[in-house]
Amino acid sequence: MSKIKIYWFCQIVGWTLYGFTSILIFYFESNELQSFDILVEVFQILFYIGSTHFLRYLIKKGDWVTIPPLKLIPMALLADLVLGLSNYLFLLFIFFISGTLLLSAELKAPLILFGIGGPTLMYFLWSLIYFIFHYFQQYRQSLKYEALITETELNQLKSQLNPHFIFNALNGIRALVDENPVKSKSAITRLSNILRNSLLLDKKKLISLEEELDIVKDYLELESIRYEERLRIVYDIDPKTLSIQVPPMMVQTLVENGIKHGIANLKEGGELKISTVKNQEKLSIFIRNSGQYVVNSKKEVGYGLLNTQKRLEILYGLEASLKIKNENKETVLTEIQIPSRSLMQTEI
Amino acid sequence: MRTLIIDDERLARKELNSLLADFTEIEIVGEAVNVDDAIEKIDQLHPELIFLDIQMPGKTGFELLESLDKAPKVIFTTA
Repeated sequence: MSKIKIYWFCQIVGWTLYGFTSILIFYFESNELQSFDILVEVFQILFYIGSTHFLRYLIKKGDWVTIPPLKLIPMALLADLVLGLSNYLFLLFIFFISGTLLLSAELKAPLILFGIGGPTLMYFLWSLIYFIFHYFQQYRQSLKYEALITETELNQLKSQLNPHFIFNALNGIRALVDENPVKSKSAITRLSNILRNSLLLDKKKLISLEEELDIVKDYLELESIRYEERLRIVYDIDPKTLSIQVPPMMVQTLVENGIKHGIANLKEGGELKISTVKNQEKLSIFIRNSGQYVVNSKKEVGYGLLNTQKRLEILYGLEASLKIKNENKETVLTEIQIPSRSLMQTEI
Repeated sequence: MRTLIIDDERLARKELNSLLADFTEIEIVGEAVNVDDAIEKIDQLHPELIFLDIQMPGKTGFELLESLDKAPKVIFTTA
């Protein structure tokens, strides 16, 4: 049930029950019930529903749920009192209209106090339920959000420091030392870059695409030591895109996926192409790799993609997208679109 | 002992070769770069021992063992 449906359900059922109870109490006390009394009660119920709905409008408009309790309590009490008073006046008005108003009988201090205090108490109870419900919901929402963030951070760490990758790289370099000392030296530098980045980057929310591509290049350089001529790399980078901010390790994760699940499985190897384009307000990143994308063939594929998708959703909402599909029989295309303006600007 | 190295990465095979050079009882009779290649070489060379990588393009090391009627001694090599 949606929130608004719950609200109306509680409003109508709650106030109707209240009305019935009042009539029953009235009946048991005075042992008589005239249709006029029932009519007054119906008007009462309608007034309660209408006036609390107005209170809800005020609460929503003034964002009362975010006001600290010490400031909120007097505000809510005052509102409850004003509504209680208007409820009392409304009742007097009905009596007046119907010609049953006996001013001499009504205008006695205990009756006035009771007439205002009773509805005020009802409004107070209503506000109490309303705020408790919303505080509870806010609390649940923030717990959910925190859990999501923690989970994403954990996944991020996992994807950054892949011990398997480090072992493979070290083994590759060890074999390369005799054969090509210069290349192995540069490979060690790249590996140390990757380790440094993996320690620094998880503290950052966004980095420039240029920084991200540096990581990707380091990574691909190491992978080409392993795969040699089986891994062919092509870059097609629009210089205008380099300064755009992106979530760290996102392109890297997708490139790694493309190699692990695509090129590594091909006997003859294949091509990995990274291209970036900026059009209007969007940055598009295309990662093409040889191979075929089989949906849900391995859980790991879904995991890396799901993780990236979640991160994009937290950062950009509906403005970002991640798609993966078979472009043709030999190529898998992974496409990311994110807003090209800096995220900081949108937050301010 | 007649030995075959099965690994898709050239550098990994090279490194294993040089590591095994210290063991005089091991005689490396050949290398294979994938499962199909390995089946052929096992058939030709009859190794008593294979060094076998698990993740290889096409088929995995496990699939190789399943397809052999009579498997030699196996040492898995993986990172």
